[in-house]
Amino acid sequence: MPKSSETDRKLEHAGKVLHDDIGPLLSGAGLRLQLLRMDFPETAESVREVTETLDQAIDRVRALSQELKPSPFAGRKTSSRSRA
Amino acid sequence: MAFDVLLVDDHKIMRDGIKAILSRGEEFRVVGEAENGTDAVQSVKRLRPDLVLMDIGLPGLNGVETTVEILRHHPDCKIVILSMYDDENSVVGAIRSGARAFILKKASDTDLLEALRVVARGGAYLSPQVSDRLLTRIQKGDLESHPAPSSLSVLSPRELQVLRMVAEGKTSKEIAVMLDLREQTIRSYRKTMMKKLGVNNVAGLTQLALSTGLTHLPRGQAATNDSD
Repeated sequence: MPKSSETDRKLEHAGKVLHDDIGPLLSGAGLRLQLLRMDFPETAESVREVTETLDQAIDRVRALSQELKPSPFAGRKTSSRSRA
Repeated sequence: MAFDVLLVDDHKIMRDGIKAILSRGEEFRVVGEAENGTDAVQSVKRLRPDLVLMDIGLPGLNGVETTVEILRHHPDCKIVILSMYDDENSVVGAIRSGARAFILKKASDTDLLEALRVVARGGAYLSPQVSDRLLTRIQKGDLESHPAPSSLSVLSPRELQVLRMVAEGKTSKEIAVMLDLREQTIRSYRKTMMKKLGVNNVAGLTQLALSTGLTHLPRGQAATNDSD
């Protein structure tokens, strides 16, 4: 396989991992923070600060994954178990 | 009485988190979980939930296609789409498929619960971030809809769905399982599409699907199921 194709393939894979795995993990962490705030209202301010940081991370993951793997909605995952 | 909810997401951390949030109150009861679109369609048939809370980016059938399938069999089921991103194609695709709400995964628990309440009462809901962005784009006049590319406009929504899967290299058997149809029916769709589009084989269908932007494939992953 030509070197450029191999590089393209790796970049596409990186975009897919960012979109399909890293992003959802960050979102899942955000949900856990919401639960923490629900159970311990006194943590609300700290949770808000961490949530803002997480949102920034999600936005950056989004931008990079779209750059590496255009049209994420059109692209499909193969299966949850086969992903790296 | 609590509303029955089916959770559909291929990430357990998301399902667990949402389930934990819903369990804090008594308005909603999680009656089932599914990891992919095909399982979701089967679960809806079996469990008849009031609401389906579903990720848009599912493996196999995506959230939009799964919404279409669920509503085809159960038009009264209310579907809420969850998405990490608020890109226009995702939002418009979800709403066009019949979903009653579109909420971002980074939405607060308050937004999530409010969306479920509104939809359970028969309303519709968009995450504030999504509605703000749409409103701005509409006001700027740059919100474009993306109807089927002109060369594919002769195809029905179901044929477009099958075409996309064919172009992604899925066999008739695989598509039949995903759409809960007979394999022969999928073969019939393929023949009809070839006739309508004036192509003779799957390679031609794939080329059209790619050139019109109906689907995107990583390089080297062309459809090879010509003999299927």
